[in-house]
Amino acid sequence: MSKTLHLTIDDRPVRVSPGTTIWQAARDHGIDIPVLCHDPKMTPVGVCRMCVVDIGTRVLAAACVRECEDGMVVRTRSPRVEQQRRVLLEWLLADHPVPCEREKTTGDCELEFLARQFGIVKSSCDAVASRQNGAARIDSSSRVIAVDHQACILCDRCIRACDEIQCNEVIGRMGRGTFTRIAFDLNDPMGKSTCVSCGECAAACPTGALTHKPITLPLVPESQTQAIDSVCPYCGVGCALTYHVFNNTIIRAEGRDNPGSEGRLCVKGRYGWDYALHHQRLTKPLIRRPEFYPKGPLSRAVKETGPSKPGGIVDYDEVLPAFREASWDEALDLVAANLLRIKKEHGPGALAGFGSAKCSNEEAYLFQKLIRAALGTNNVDHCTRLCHASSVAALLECIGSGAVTDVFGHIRHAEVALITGSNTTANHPVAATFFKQAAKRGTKLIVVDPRRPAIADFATWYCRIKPGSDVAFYNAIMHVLIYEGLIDEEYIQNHTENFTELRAVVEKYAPEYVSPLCGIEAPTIREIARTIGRSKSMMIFWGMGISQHTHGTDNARCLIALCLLTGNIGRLGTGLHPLRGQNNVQGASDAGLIPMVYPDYQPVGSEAVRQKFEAAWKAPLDPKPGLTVVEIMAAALRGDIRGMLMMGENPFLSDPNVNKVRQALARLDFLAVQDIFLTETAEFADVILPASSFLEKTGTYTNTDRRVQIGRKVLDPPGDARLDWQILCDLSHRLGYPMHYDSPEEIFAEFADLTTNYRGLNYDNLGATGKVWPCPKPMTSDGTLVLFGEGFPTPTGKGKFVPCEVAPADELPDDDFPFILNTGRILEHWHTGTMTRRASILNDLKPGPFAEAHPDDLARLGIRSGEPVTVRSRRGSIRLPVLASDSVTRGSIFIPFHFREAAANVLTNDALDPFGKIPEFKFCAVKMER
Amino acid sequence: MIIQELNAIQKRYGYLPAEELRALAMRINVPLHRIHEVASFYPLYHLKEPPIVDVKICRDMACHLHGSANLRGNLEGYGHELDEKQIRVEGVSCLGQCDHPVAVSINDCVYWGKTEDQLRSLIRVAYQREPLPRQQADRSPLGWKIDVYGGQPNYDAVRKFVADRDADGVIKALEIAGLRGMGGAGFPTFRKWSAVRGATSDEKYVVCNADESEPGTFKDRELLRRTPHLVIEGIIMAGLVTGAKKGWIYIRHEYHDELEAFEDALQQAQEMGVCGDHILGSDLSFPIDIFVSPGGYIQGEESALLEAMEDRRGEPRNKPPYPVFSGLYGKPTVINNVETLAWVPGILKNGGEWYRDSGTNGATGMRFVSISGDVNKPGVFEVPFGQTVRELLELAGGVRGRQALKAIAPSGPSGGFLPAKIPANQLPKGFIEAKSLPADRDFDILDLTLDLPTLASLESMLGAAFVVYGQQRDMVEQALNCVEFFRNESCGKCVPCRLGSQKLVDMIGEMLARRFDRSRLNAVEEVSTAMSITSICGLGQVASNPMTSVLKYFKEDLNRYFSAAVAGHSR
Repeated sequence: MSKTLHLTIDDRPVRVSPGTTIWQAARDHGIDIPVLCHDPKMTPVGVCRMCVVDIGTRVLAAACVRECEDGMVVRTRSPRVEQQRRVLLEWLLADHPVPCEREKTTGDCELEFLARQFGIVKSSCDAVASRQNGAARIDSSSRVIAVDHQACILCDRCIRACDEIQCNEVIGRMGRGTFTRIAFDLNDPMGKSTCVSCGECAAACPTGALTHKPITLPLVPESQTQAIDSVCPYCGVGCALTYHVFNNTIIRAEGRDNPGSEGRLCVKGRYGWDYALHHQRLTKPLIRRPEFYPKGPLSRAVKETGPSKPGGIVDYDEVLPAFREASWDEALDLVAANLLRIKKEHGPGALAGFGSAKCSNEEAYLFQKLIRAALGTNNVDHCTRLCHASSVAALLECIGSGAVTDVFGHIRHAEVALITGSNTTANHPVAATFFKQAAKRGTKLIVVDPRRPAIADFATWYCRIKPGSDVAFYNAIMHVLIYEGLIDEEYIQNHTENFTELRAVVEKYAPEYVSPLCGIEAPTIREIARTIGRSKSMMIFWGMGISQHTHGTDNARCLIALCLLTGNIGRLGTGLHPLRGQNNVQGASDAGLIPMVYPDYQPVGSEAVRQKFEAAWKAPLDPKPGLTVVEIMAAALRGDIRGMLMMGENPFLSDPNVNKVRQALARLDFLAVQDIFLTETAEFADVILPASSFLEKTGTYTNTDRRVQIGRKVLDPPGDARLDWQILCDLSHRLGYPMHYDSPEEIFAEFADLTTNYRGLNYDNLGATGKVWPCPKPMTSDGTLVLFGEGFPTPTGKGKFVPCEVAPADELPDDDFPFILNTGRILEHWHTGTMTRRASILNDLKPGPFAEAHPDDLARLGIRSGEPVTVRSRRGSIRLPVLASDSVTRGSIFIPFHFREAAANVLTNDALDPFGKIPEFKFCAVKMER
Repeated sequence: MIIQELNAIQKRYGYLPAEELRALAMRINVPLHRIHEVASFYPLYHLKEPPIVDVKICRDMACHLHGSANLRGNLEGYGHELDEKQIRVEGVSCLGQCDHPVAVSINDCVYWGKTEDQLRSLIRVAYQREPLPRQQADRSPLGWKIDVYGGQPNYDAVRKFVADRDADGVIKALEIAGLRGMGGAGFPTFRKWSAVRGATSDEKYVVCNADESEPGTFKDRELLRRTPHLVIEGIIMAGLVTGAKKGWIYIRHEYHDELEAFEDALQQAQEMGVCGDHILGSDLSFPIDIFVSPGGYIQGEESALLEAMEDRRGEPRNKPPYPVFSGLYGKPTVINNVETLAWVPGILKNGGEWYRDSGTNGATGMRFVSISGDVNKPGVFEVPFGQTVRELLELAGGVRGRQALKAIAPSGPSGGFLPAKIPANQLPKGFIEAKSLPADRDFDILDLTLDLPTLASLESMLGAAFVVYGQQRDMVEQALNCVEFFRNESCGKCVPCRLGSQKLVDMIGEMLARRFDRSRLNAVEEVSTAMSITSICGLGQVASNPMTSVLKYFKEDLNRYFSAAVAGHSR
């Protein structure tokens, strides 16, 4: 089949491989054939017929679908061909509304563009009148997309964008003949359909049928905007995008091609950027007024410990009176003086800093350098502790590296993919599109989750295991693999150690024994194990459902063992991929924002490493590893930690057991908060420093794939707000440890030089699409996508099996608190809502808190779906509406943690995993009352 | 799966309630739009609760010639009087009863040859929610040559194949016979069978296309009802010869009697052990299933038919690949017309020569033709290829009402019209040469021999529909009727057909309203060309033929509409 075909296109000899379409062959040879329905990213449908060419047959052939044949003589521009194109264009143009909504907004109507190319100013034929069949022409029900059926040419691009690219499967054709239209679901209004507002359809539409609605200023054609290439500030997928700026404001974001996200975006990336323009942005340094001491919460939502709180974002009238504006000099002097005072009085161990995975690599690097070198403590951590700390602990222990071993897009090469503890469609929406796409193309998905995630719709197996039974389930899978001889003995022999110990532990986990523990039938467990064992390649993806447990490290150890046991690591379409939450949680960790390691995971406890950093930073460093996030809060409550610096973190909402956090924050001698809004945490601050948002600064961000990408400045910071790295430098100077850099690039160079994995990377070679670390040859390579084909960076070079026994959750349900609470995120919101609740679209789509419970449980309690309930745990209570949902299992409740007025973390348990020190966000006992 | 489920829901509720569709989507785990795009495509389905009485009156060709528009107007009036909301009267595409116009369906029961009074009383019956009487057609064999077993289910060809496994012999016999597709395209049957037989694939399929929906075509109807075993044996032979896994018959839902006859025969065949598992006790297996079409003329297009069987909108595929390489579920598939398959037992019993030599006037083979329109005795006739128009008209009792012949449509609406006399200067060179005609003499259509090469040389088509037009007919008006049919049945997939068919209807409508200027006739040509050379499938490619044949042969009819336009209404 590797035969080469010879043909001529417009008299030029052309050689192509079999299966190449005429359109593609022509394009590869510099001949553009006009199209309206075709997009090379989609399955060709050949419906617009604009691409017809003459191949010497009675009828013309549609080049986008017609494959080349040997000896074919193709004419793409003969008068006969051009005449038909002109006729079809005239017809389409006759029905085309003027002015075209697309020309008015983004200025890229492909129909009008083609018409201009053909010199058609106005169609000479009549419109086909009966098109709409009495149905409404306009559908404006979607918050983000305007629908005009009259402008639709039925090219099916939106259908394929929704079906094939995003795999949301909302749009179809309806009716037939001249009455054919596009429709959403069962011809529901777009805004009431299952549409998730990703906007891929509007991006794909060639006419004014589906256009983006304006978010800030009215949209203007691309020719009038300044286009700035950047990346998305939300999740770890790190989608590449372009911001369009007009009149000093962003008017639109557009997906940009890169090897990871391939131009796709979700609702947050495409429509959720106007938080940066919100009127509540901090523009001046703020100092707490003396009359607001002793310190405590200011707003009602933060003050009150009872269940009922006012909704929405913080009311500045409640909090601002507690502060007065100050100059940067005064504010920074005050911060420095207090930190130095505490250090002097109580030692550096009484100080701590929280950085943020929302900040850039440069900022994370500088922050930890400041805490370590200027303050002299390793008490520096960030929200990675709350997400994948246990995964990283297990990965470092078993395979010597905490990062993913293969990129998410390689699921397309996997025969089987296990997705567990991950609500991917909500939390990594664009990665989910690749998972769904792979499933449609034949990858078997095994989805394991107590709460049914939407991706289960695409799964070959969905296993609703009992909450907290992960270890039992995976031990049973490994039991079957071992006892049915479905393991990769050669791989185990050459690349692993401790297999005997693993075998000894999983011996008793026969499926029949485990089945009642995890709730999955024994034959199903066997069938899944056999599928894994017999496949050539398997990838494992996991999220917080695995990590956020007191036995989170154990859960991850099992997944690692499963890959080692089957030799599924180090090859294309295999490996371990803990899906990273924050846009820069990988990078912030890489940069050393972790209490026990310096940049690039070099251990604080190692004498040689410490000496290396002391030499590089020209300062003595503390040889003792520092405290982690939850430990720091506990130490603050005890009075051991007295002074803190927070850069972009909001522990009041993100940390478990809010009532305890409230006491801890109030107890601090001194707290400085550097942020873009006055957060719940900032209410406890002595000094608040107005920082810059993602959109106002340039820096690098490392996504879940280890892809290091440049985020570029799009806007100027508002008022006196300053760039974070400059604030850190100025503060450090006042702390007696001068740091001077001219640009983020200079910081990046210093950081990269101190690492193995980032060495060689710089802003020039990162370019438009970034690099995947390690990238030894950045001039020629995209980086190392698949890691560990040749052993592991462990002392022995081998991967280690760490067998685990089943352990119960810290707090089990009982008669008083009979429900299991599970917390997490939803598609439209991000973490503590600081950004997304101030992004107009996202806030409109999901304005308030809710809980989800099984309809049977609600019926039993006599509660109607939508009714407000009080959910209470041993630590506190919140009040919020409860919705009936089949996705949660009986006896459990799900609550997203974004909403301050019903903060799920009031309820959660701050018990920690002993290895990763991650709290058990996914399991605690609660009750639900009217 | 989807179509069967939709059928079940509609059977239960009389329509497809949205809540049921949502529940279905959950149950079978498909997106809502996948269900809706199917449910909203096929004419069989109602997305809203239908009225108590749903009357559909055929509007095409023969029924049109017999005043279906008037009948519809009258019944609409009657419905309005009785109950405006609960009685709906509307038009429908050809119901396949062209020999007994006007065909009417009331609540999906098809009636033919009824008077207006009879229809009124049927409407009353339906309105009172009483069961509607069923009109049943005769099933008895008529002594046709095709019926080589004299109406008995002998299955000799199957028996022989089980014994000798001589697939090459079967294909050879079909080659000698020169059997061609009887659905209109005329592709050699042996080629399809040998292509699929030669294809390497884990699965192959056979589909019998019984979706006879072209106006004026109703001969498969007769074969299905009177000789179903021949059709079944043809399907089995195609399956055995090609090594197919399964066979289907895809039958239009309006053919109630035919469906029943076929079901009865299939059950009998299964009981005889000639299909299903272990045919006649051998190691050969070949089950046959029935797929009832949810409606639409376009389903007769073979790839659209496959799309329907795969639970999608019945839109034709881009070709190549052709079904013999990538058919049902992407597997090599034989798709043959009912009649094509019904000829197979005879050819295998009597030899290919038997079929080949039965032609006349130099043509080979036999066929069934449906004659309708302005004739005295419309019906289905078994005729040799090569018979003349004169002979066919005689079979059908001549032109109705002693009129002179004005035109024929030799392939339903698809081939356009041929006039009673073709002026010498309009005769294609190829035709003159092939028939060795004197160059300056007009050609009398009665002398036209009906076979594929002759019609091709005349730049026309030969289908199974032979529709006759008497002297009184206005061919512009008839062209509008035909083009409206194509517009109504366009699936809407590709731009040229979806928009072009409506443009043609609009333009002819303007002509009839005398609002069309002669100078715009080139626009008609432009639309016709664009449709015929850029549409995806045959429907769009032939849709303009009726109008282009009027432009070519019926200038007098045309001119009538222009004199007035020039006089005052020009745009």
